[in-house]
Amino acid sequence: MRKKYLFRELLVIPLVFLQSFLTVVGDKVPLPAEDMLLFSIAGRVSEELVQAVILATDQMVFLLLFLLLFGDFLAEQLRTGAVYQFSRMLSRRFWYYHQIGSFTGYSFGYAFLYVGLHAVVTVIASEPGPGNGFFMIFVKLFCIVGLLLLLFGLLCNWLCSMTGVAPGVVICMGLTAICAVLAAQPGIVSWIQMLNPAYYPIELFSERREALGKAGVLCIETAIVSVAAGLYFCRKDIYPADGEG
Amino acid sequence: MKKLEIINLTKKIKAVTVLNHVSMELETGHITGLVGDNGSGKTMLMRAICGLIMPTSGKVLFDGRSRQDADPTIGAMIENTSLFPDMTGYDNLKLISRIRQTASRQDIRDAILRVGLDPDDRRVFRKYSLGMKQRLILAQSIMEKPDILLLDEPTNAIDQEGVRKVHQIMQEEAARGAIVLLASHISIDISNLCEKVFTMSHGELI
Repeated sequence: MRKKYLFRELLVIPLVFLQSFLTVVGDKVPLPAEDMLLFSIAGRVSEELVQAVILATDQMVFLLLFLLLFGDFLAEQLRTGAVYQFSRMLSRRFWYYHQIGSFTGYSFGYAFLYVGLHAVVTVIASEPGPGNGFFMIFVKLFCIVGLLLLLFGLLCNWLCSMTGVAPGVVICMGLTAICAVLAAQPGIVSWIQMLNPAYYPIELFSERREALGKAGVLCIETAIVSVAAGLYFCRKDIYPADGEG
Repeated sequence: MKKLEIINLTKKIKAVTVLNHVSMELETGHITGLVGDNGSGKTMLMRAICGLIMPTSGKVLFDGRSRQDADPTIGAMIENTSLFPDMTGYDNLKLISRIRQTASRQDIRDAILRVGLDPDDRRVFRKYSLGMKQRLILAQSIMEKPDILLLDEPTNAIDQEGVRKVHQIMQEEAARGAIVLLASHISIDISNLCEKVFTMSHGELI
């Protein structure tokens, strides 16, 4: 059997974890296992967890769409035309700096559109209109969303380059969903939630210090991922498959 | 006269040694041949010269200096690789030329004409025939008048007239002062064009 497909088989593990999160970490259920199994596979519609997942995923849809659209942004360049681009470059480091710059631009551009469009809709829909704190809330949301897109986008590109596009995007989407579900769970230790990129509840934005702290943590996480991905991209051997560049 | 020196180049991928202490010296103005069976390491050696793979040990020197210090222009045509599928031939070359910014529009047009294609052809790359694709890839490798020209099976899919053109281009490039390394299975290509021939087997020079 080919390793590639064996690896793809394993992708079902995070899916099951996601679907059974509450069953795994929650209290024991007073039902026979066969009923629970049947319920897990065939009767999930009214499950409390499903509602949590749907709510959490709904909040992260903008990120999932971004991963689909930009998850292969850097990784693609190591396939198409790579031989002819990289044989002309003395150092891949400068290429990576340039790509990080472009990718940051795309991430924050997308964040601006996403938060900005929501801002326009809320201004139109709100009867009293925008208050004194509206602009600050907009800026805080824009920064957090932009950093979140940059972090997961870079991670996705790194994964796509290592594992191929489809598994890379799926793994990253799975991670996003796990983070979103974790963020929706009450009672999780606060420092874990602070490290969780998908955790940005409404309360976070009322305290300036909290919002700055969250942005700082996201910046550090993004920096770690960008350095690790950069080391990988700069040292990766390029072997395009037949018909690729 | 400038030299390309490959000194004790070794590349290991996991437990497999794909290049094993390869050393050779190539000079400007000459076409050097590289022959060997499939998987003998010819393409891998070309990838290492281009900087596409990082050698496990050994070095590549141009004019006595590392690639970073000497900054030679390298034109490469590596087997089975492609260009951007949804761009025209001219646009593909124009995009690639932005990296070094040494080839003018006229240089790009001249390179495309030299390989027997039309620079004003509006068809996108994926609609080219295999032979046309190969000619365009040859054009990208010569458009910047490279110091080092690496050609891996350049005449694979090209018709008889095209093969003559490719041979002529190789000779012209060598006469201009380029170091030309040609890997080929076609013995007539090697015997007609190359003054020096290296043979590879299992990642080693024999």
